[in-house]
Amino acid sequence: MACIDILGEPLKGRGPRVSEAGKLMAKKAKTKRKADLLQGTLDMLILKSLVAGAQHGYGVAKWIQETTSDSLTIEEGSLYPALHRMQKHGWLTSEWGVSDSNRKARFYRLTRSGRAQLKKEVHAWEQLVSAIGMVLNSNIAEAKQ
Amino acid sequence: MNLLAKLKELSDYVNTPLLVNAEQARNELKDEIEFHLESSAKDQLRSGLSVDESVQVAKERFGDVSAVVRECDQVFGSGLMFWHRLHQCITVALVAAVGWLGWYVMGLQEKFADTNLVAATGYSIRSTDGDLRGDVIGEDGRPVSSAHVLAVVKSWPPNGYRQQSYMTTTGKDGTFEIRDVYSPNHDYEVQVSAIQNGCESHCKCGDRARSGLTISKFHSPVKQPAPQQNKRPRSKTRWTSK
Repeated sequence: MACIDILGEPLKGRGPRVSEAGKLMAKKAKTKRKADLLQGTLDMLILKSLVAGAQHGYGVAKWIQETTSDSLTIEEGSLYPALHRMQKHGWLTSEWGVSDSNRKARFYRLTRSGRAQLKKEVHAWEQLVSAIGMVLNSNIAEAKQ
Repeated sequence: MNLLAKLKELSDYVNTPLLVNAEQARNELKDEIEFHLESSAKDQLRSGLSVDESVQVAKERFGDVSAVVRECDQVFGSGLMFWHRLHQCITVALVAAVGWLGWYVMGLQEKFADTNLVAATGYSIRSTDGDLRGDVIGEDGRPVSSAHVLAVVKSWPPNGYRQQSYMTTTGKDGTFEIRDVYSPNHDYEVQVSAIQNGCESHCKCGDRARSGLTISKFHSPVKQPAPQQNKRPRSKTRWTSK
C-alpha cells in the first residue's frame, strides 16, 4: 500500500462530494441501521477499549467497530482529539511503539486515574439507562391519574 | 487533570520552546493519522475494494483531517498555552518588579545624594541648618518692607575658610529670613546689609546702622553651636556660639 497523502485536500464528509467509495459505504449502511454515538459516551468507549491493554488510535476505532458489530457510527478522526484530551487529563499515557504491521505507531495506555474515570462514567451511564428505562416502561395512563 | 499530568506538561513546556513543542506535536499527530489511514485502507483492501477505493473509504471513515488536526492543536495548545500565559505573566511581573526596584533605588540614591549635597556654604545641606532672621526698621521706628537684605556669612570649617553671600527682601512686617546659611557647628561671622530707597544700613551682630535703616532683632541661629577650641583670629564681630 502506497503511503497515503494525508496533507492533501481534506474530504468534507457526506454530501455532494461523496465519492464512489462513499456511495458504497452508504449502501452498506442502509442494510444496517447505525446509531449515532450519544454525546459524551466516546470517552467512555475509548477508556473501555484500553482496559485490555495499550492500543493505538486505529486499534481503538477497530475495537469499537468490531465490538458493536459496526452498529455505532464514529467518525474515526474524532478519536484523536478525544485521546489527546484524555491524555491531558491524565487518564491515558502514550508512547511510540511498533504496530503489528511493523510500523511506528503511538500506543495509548490507561492510567489509574483513567480506570477511576471509566468507573465513574460507567456508573453515570447505567444510571442514565436506568432512568430512561423507567420512563419508557412507565404506564402513561397511571401517570395521568 | 491530575498533578502528574500537569507536571509533565510543565516539563514539556520547560524542556522545549512552545513553537518547537507545537511543531513536534503536529508532526507526531500527522504520523498518527497517516498510520491510521494506512491501516484502515489496508483493511478495506482486504475486504475486496480497489486501492483507490480503499484509500477513499479510509478517508471517508476518518473524516476531515484538517479539522482533526485543528482540534488536536487546540487540545495541545490549551495545555501549553496555560504555561505560556503563566510564563508571560511572570515575565511581565518580573520586568515590573525590576523597574520598580530600579526606580526605588534611584529614589534612594537621590535621597542619599540630597543628604550629601553641599550647600552654598560648602557644608552639606543636612548639617547646614543655621538660619538668619531679622527685622529692618526705618528711622521712624516702623518696619521697612521690600528692603533688600544682603547677608555675608563667613565660616571656618576645619582647615579652611568659606565665605558666601545671600540676598533676600523683607516682608511687609519688615522681617527677613535666610535659611540654612551655615553650619552652627563651626565658627562663623555674619554681616548683614539692608538697602531701601537709597538708604543703606550695615550691621554686624546687631550693630546700629550709621544712617537710614536699622537692622534690629538680628537673631542668632536656631541651633547654638558648641564652643570651639583653637579659634583663629578673626574680626571682633564674628559670631561664635556661647
